[in-house]
Amino acid sequence: MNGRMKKYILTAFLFSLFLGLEAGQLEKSVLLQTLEQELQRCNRILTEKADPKPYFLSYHVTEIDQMSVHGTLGALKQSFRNRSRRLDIDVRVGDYQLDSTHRTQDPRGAFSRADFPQSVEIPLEDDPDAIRSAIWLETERRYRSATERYIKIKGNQAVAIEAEDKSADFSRETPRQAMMQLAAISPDVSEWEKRIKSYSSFFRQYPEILDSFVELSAFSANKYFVNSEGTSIQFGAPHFRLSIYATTKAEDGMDLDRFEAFTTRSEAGLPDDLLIRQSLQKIVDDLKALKAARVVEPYTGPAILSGRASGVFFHEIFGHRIEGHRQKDEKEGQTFSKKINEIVLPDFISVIDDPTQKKWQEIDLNGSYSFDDEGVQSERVEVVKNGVLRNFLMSRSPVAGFEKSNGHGRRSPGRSATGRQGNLIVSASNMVSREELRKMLIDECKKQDKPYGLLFDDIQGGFTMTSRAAPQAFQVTPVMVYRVFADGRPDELVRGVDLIGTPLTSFSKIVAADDQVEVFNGNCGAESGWVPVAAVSPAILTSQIEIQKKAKSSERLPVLPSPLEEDLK
Amino acid sequence: MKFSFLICILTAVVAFAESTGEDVVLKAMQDEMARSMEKLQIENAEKPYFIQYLVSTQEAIRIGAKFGALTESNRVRSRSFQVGVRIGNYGFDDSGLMTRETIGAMAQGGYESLVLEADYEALRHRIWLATDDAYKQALERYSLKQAFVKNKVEKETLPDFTKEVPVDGILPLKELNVNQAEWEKKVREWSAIFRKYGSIQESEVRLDITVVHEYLLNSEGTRIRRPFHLLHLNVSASTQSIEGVRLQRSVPLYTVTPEQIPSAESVAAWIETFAQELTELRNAVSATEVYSGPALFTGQAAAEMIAQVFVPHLSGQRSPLVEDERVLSYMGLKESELIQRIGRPVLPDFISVKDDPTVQTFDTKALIGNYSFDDEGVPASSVQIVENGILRNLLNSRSLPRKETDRSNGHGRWSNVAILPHIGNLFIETTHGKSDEELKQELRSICRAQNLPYGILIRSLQENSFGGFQDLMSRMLSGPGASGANVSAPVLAYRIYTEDGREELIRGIQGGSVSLRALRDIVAAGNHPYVHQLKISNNRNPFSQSSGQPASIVSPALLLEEIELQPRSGSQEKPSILSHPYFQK
Repeated sequence: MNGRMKKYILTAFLFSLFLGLEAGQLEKSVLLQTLEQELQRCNRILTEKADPKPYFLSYHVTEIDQMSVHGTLGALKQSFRNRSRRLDIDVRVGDYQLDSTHRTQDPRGAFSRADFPQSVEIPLEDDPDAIRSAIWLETERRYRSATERYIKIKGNQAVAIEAEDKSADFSRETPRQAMMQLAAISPDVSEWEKRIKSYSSFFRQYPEILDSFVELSAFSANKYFVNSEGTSIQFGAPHFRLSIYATTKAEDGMDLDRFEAFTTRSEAGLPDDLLIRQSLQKIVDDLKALKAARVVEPYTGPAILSGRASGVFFHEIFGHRIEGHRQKDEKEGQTFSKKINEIVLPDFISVIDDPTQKKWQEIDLNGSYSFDDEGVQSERVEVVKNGVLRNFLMSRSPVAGFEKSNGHGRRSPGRSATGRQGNLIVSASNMVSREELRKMLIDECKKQDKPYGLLFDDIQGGFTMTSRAAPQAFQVTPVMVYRVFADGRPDELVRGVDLIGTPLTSFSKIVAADDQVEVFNGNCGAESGWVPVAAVSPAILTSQIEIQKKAKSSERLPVLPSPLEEDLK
Repeated sequence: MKFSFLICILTAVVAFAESTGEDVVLKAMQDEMARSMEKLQIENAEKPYFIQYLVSTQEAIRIGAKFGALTESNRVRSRSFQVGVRIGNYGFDDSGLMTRETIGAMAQGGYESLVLEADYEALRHRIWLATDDAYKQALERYSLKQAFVKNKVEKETLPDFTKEVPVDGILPLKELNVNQAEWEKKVREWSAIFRKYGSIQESEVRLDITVVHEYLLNSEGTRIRRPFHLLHLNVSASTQSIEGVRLQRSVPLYTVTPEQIPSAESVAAWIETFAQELTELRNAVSATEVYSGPALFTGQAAAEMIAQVFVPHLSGQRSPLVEDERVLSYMGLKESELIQRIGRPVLPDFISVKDDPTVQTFDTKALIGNYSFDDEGVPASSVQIVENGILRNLLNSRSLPRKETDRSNGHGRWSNVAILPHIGNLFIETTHGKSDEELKQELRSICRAQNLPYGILIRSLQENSFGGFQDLMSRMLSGPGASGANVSAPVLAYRIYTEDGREELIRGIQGGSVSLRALRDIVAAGNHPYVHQLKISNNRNPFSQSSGQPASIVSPALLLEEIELQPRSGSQEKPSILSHPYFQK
C-alpha cells in the first residue's frame, strides 16, 4: 500500500472521530470533496469536448450501514450487518425546457436501459483515487445514453402532436451548500439477538399461529449530493424499526395475518419490553378473534376509519394522486390535474405534506428529511386547504402552473426521483369526540336505513409491509373491521373485507372527524422505489364505502397438527 | 494496516457446528419425516410414497474491491430447506408433467428459509408447514397428470422414479475458519494492481469463500450430512480499443478450501498477466470477415468449448410430458439428441470421455466438481460416457429414466427448481496426445490443404453462464430445434499464419458455431490436460438465476477441422471523451 493511500485512510479515520463530536458546523467529508472534484473535472471535459454538451450533471451517493436481526419461534433466522455506498448519476443533455429525460408519446415507446438506471457500487473506504476511478466511466456511459435519448426525442418532437402540458422538463433551483450531521448506528447486536429471540418465542405457545417473526432492522442513511449548478450537501439520518408479524388460517382456508411495526429515529425511542409484549399479545388475540369471526357480507354504507386506517387510506388513495409527475404523464389517471382551486374534499378537511416536521407529539415521523433526493430543501406543502386543492408534491419535474420543486423529489438508489409523499398530515377544523363520531355513524345508518355501519380499525396498505413485498401503490387491505349495529348490540369483528368501487368517492363523502389523531409510520413503494413515509390523521366518518367478500384461498388448514401442539401435550 | 470499516460483530453470534452429541437439525428432519410418512394424508386422497428433505446451511464471506479500496465486505449466513413429496408409486407418480399449472408452481416454489440455530421446535415447525404445502401441491399435480394421460396414448410405459439402495453417510461438520481482515487486505491489494495499467478503464476483484453443510434425508432410509467448501475469486476488467470497441474480460479462480489458493504473490502475478493480456488486446488486429476453417482450442478454451457444445447434451433423462413441445426447448428439457446415438461414434476414436465426481484432485489441483453423494443421496459413480469415440452411456438422476436405465448413476444435482442430471468432474482423455508445437504444425497443414492463409488458435473463451431471462428470450426468438451450439466469443484468439507459423493476436470475434456433429471431426488432441473449474447449469432453465453447480472439466487441447467464426457486427461505442482521473495526472 502506498503512502498516499495511508494518508487518506487516516484522514477518513480522523474524520469519523469528528462526526461523533461535532454538532454544529461540520467539515466537508472526503467523499463529498471527491465527488465535487470528479464532477468538476467531468463537467469541464464534457462541456469542452462533447457534442451535444450536457447542461446538467449530478452525483448522489447513498451510504447505508444496516443491521437486521430476525427471529422466529425463539430462534434466529437472520442476523447481519453490512455497509454499502451506491452512486447515482444524472446527466442531462438539451436544456431546462426540453432535455434527454423528456417523456415521449411514442406509442411503441419501448423501455430503454435509460428508464432503468442502475446505481454503481463505489468504494466504502475514503480513498479518493479509488472512488474517482469508479465514477468517470459511468458518467461517460450516462452521457452517451442521454445523448442517444435526446436525439430520439428531438426526432419525435418533429412528428408527434403537441403535448397538452408544455411545462419544462427540469426546474431551475437555487444551488445549496450544507454540511450537516451524518448518522451512525451502534446497536448492541448480541443484546438485540437475545431480545428478538425472547419476543419471537412468544408465539410458541400458540399452535394456531402458522408463520411468525419479530425483526429489528436498523440503518443509518447518509446522503452526499453534488451537481453542476453548485449544490453540495451532505446529511444523514438513522432509522430503527421493530416489526412483528403472524399469520393463521380460518377453518375455511382463508389466510389471516397481522403486522405491527414501531418506526423511530433513535434506538432509545423504540418501545420498551412491556409495550412489545402487549403488542405480541394483541396480535395473537386479534388473530384468534379473526379466525373465529364471521365472513363479511357485501355492503355499501357509512363507515368510520380510525386515525391509522384513515392515514393509510389517505396516503394510498389520495396522497399518490397529488404527486406532481402524475399530473403530467398522459398514461396516468390525472385525477387532479385540472382541479386546482376546486373543491376536492369537504370544506372542514385540510391536508399538508410536511417533511420538515420531525415529530407528532412524542412520535417520530418516518417521512421527515431535510433535503430531497434532488438536493432541494424540503418544504411544508399545503395540498388541500379547507377542501380546496392548492398544490401538488413537486420534484424538479414541473407541471403546468407549478414550475418549481417543493422538495418532494424522492427515490431509492437506482431509480429516478418523482414527486413523493413525506409526512402526510390530515386535519379537520371541527372535530368531535370518539363517542360523538360513533353516534353520528349510527345516525347515518338510520338515515340510510342500514342495520349496521362499519368501523375500520386497521388497514394494511402498499406501504405497511417492508421492502420484502412487491410495491402495491394504491392498494389497501382492511384487516380489523367491525360491524357497529344501529340497535346498540356490541360491535362484531368480521373478516375477508375487500374494498371495491372508487374509494376516492369515499373522501368526498366524509361527514366528520374526531379528535383522536394517530400516526402511521411505514415504507412506501412506487415507481421511484422505496421511501420512508408517515401518515397522520384523525378518525373520519364517511357516509359511503363499498366492500365485498375477499376471494378466499382454496388451501385448507395443515393436515397434521403443529409439532408444537404435540409437544405441549 | 489494521484499519477496517467492518465492525466485527459476526463472530460472536452462533456457531453452526454443534460440538458433540446429537445433531438437532437431523433429528428435526427425521422426526417430521417419520410423522409425515405415517400420518400425512387427506381423506380420500393418496398418502406420499416418497419424501425427501434437503437442508443446506451456508456460511460465506464476500469481499469486493475496486482500484485498491473495498466496495463490500460481508459475512452471510443462511439455512435453506427444500422438500420433495411424491404421490403415486415408482412406476407412475405426480412428476414429469410440464403444463402451465405445474410450471407456474415451479416458478413460485424453491427454497424455504430455516432458522440458523439448532432449535428443534422452530426447525420442525417450518419443515411441517413446508411438507404440508408440498404434499398438497403434489396431490394437485398427481390429479393433473392422471387427467393428462387419460386422453393420451403412450408409446411405452416407463417408470417415473428409480428405486435406490438407502445410504448412510454422516460426515463431520466443518467451520468457516477465515480471518476476514486478512482476506480484505489481500483483495484490496490485488485490486490495486490495476493502478499500474493506464489503459484499463474499469476493474474489480471479488472473493467469495463458502462453507455449506448439506443434510439429505429420504423416506427410503437415506441419511447424509456432508460439508462442502468453495473459494471463488473473480477478476474482471474492461477497456476500449483505439476505435472505441469495448473489450471486457472476467476470469474466475476456484479452489475447494481457502488453503488451496496459490500464494498472494502467485495470485498477483496471475492478475498481472490478465491485465497485460487485456492491454495487448487493445492493439490487436480486428477480425472483419467470417472465418471458416480449422481451429485449435487450447487450455481453458478447449474445456470451455466442451462445456458449451458437448455438456448440455449429456443428460440421459427422457423428456417430461408436455402440452406444447416448444416448452421443452424453452426450459432446456428437450431430450438429448445423443440418446439416439448410444453405441455409435460421436467423437474420433482416439478420444474417450468419462465423468467421475469421486476424483478429488487432478495434477495436484483440487477438483471443485468432486462429491461423494448426489442431491438425491445416490453415491457418485464414474460413468464412461464415450469409449474410443463410441457413445456408451449418459448421466442419470433418479427421475424419468429411459428404457435402458433402471438406476441413477449418481449425477442428480440441484438446478434451483429441480434435480437434473449434471456433470461433476468430466475428463476428456486421449490415447494419442500431441505437443502444442505438433498441433500447430497440424493446424498449418490443414490450412495449406484448404488453401487458407492462416488458421485460428483460441486460448481463452468467454465463460458462458446459461440461464436467466435473457437466455430464455434468445431461445424463444431462435425457436425450437435450433441445434448447432453457439460458442461464446473468444477472448484470446490468434491467427497462425500458414506460411511461417507466426502468431497474431486478433479481437472482435463475436462467437462461433460448432455443432455436436462437428466434434467427430476433431483431428487431434493435446498431451497436457487443462483443469477448468466452473459453475455450470446443465439445464437452461429460465428460473435458475443462480450461477449453477460447481464442476470441473479436464481436457487436452483440441484441433477442430472446421469451425465458423463470425466477426462482431452492429453498432459500437465511440472512444470515450472522459479519461481515467488517476492516469490523467
